[in-house]
Amino acid sequence: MSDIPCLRLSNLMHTYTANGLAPRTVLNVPTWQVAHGEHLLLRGISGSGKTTLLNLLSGLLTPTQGSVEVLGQALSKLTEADRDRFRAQHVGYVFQTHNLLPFSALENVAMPLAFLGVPPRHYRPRAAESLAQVGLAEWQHHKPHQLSAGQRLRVAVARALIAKPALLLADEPTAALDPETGAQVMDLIQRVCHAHKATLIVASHDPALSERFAQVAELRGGTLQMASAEKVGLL
Amino acid sequence: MNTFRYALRVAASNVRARTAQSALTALIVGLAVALSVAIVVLADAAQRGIIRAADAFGVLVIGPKGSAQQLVLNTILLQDSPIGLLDSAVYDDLVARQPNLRIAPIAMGDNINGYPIIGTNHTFFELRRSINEPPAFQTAQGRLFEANFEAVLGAEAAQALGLQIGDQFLTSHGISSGLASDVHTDHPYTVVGILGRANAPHDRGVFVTLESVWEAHELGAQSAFVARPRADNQTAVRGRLTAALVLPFGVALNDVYRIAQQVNTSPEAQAAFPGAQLGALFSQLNQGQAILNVVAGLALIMASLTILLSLYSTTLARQQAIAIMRSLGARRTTVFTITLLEAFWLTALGVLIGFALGHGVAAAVSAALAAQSAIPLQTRIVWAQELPLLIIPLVLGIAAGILPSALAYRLNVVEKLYNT
Ligand SMILES: Nc1ncnc2c1ncn2[C@@H]1O[C@H](COP(=O)(O)OP(=O)(O)OP(=O)(O)O)[C@@H](O)[C@H]1O
Ligand SMILES: [Mg+2]
Repeated sequence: MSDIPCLRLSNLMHTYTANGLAPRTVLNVPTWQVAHGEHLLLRGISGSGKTTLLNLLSGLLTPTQGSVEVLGQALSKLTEADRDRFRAQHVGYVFQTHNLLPFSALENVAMPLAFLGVPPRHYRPRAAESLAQVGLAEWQHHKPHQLSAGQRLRVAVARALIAKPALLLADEPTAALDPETGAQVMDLIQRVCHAHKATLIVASHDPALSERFAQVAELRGGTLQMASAEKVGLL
Repeated sequence: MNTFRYALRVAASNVRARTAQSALTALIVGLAVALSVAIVVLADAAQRGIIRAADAFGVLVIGPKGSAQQLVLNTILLQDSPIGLLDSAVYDDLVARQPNLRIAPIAMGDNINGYPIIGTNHTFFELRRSINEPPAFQTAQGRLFEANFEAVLGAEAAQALGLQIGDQFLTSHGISSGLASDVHTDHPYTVVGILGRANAPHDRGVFVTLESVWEAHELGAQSAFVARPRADNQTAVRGRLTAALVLPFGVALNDVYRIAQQVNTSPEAQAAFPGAQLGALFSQLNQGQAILNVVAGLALIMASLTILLSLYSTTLARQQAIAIMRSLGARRTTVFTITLLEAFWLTALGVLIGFALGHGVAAAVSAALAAQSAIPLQTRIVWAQELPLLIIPLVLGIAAGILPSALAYRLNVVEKLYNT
């Protein structure tokens, strides 16, 4: 296990060919690895391809070329149904838009387990526990529209973490929050990932996050460049 | 299995989330189902009611030449009007030639407030539903008539007219309650007996001797009020009957057929088998029902299209939610199932509404019909016929869910995930 990285990209190329638009190659990554348990910040200006990369890592998007391996498993080798299952089991994803459904916080958090076939009597206590972990024990029965943006984000985090994934992806988690709340949520995410020994990749252009991460990768012109935190700070 | 159960729950909460739209869709399905359920239940109640009402009336109805069905309807179900008059010689002749034949003469033509005066003799009160049962019409109070202008009231007639033993009343001419000028003023009847309830149209009957009916008419004819000519000749005339009932006791079936044949070859009378005539009536009813069934079928198809439309628009509106579920690990088949199960819930709800509503409507209609026709109608659940009416809409509804479900199945997750 130790010599297999959590993530490995090779010869990855992604080109969007939207109807009527010229094909646009957004990502071109010859090779890239992330070790188990690392916390990494993915930086890049808006439109640089951060979300695209996270989608590729989660298997939601299939690259036009090259391969994505998560926990040693090449995603392209899985059938779509197995990929959905793999995602539910091993990858947590906190979306830029939170993507909560109009059900209670508890139901939202439980969903990945439910889709794995876990029965309600097992997923309910785990969802409650996961909500408690993000400080929302009292908000189980609230629906998304009854929660603040920060609380919604925490529900999304609880949901991403419920299956104890080996890899947690977070897309601009702090974008909609005031700096103080943003810092709280980031503390929470990092603490829980640390406790679970999960690998964390946070995509953000929030400069305030840079100092939290020892590992920073910069997306620019479709390529990934590793940079230490200090260097990034100089840019 | 757990995933399926979960899909079932998600589908149910999706249905609940769109309260108004779901309620409306289910209601449309419900109305279509109610229509077909009501048709089936009413037809069943009518058939059983008519069979039950006709049960006691012997094997053969003898009457003047004319429509056999009208003869049976008039004599047994007290519907329609008598088709004409029969010389009582036909009756006397039969009685003379078949001494052990039980045969009840009937002369109708007058009424009291719409309750028919039925001239007959005591043989009528021997009618029974089967040989092992007690007579269908038995006195609950008082006695049978012994003299002219004594009357025995059917249970319902007594109740509705508010008459009791010893009371007197006047009659008017005609089958249904007529003009005030038609009242036979001179001859009051005296109530001597009241029958127990038999759950037959004859509960509305007022039974008197043949002689009293004839006499009332002769006297009436002399009075100035009834001097004008009538369009109908269906009044009781001395020595004339409207029908005669042959009781199925004391004769072999073969003899009954022979008697029927004899009567039918005579120039002035006919013999009708109630069973056969009611059978013909039922097949007419069934034809009507078949037409209504087509209407109900079309309504069901329209209801299914409503489900299709409703689910299609909500699935379009919910593409992002579906994409989110997919991103959380739901498979294509799971989101397909969820949408299909929404169709199932909607139709199941509609079918339940339709079942209840259909029975409610059928019960209300049959109560109204029973009050009008005096044929007791009782609705019941007819599983053999109703089950298909509950299952077919479910199948149609789920079929209507296939297109929107395919939309959910084929959805491009990444594209719809960010489609805010
Ligand atoms: N489905 C798509 N079809 C065509 N082009 C797309 C599609 N999705 C993204 N792109 C393009 O790919 C590029 C990268 O988009 P992406 O969303 O990955 O950027 P991002 O770094 O996440 O930006 P932001 O910081 O604003 O969220 C953009 O130029 C965008 O226009
Ligand atoms: Mg983005």
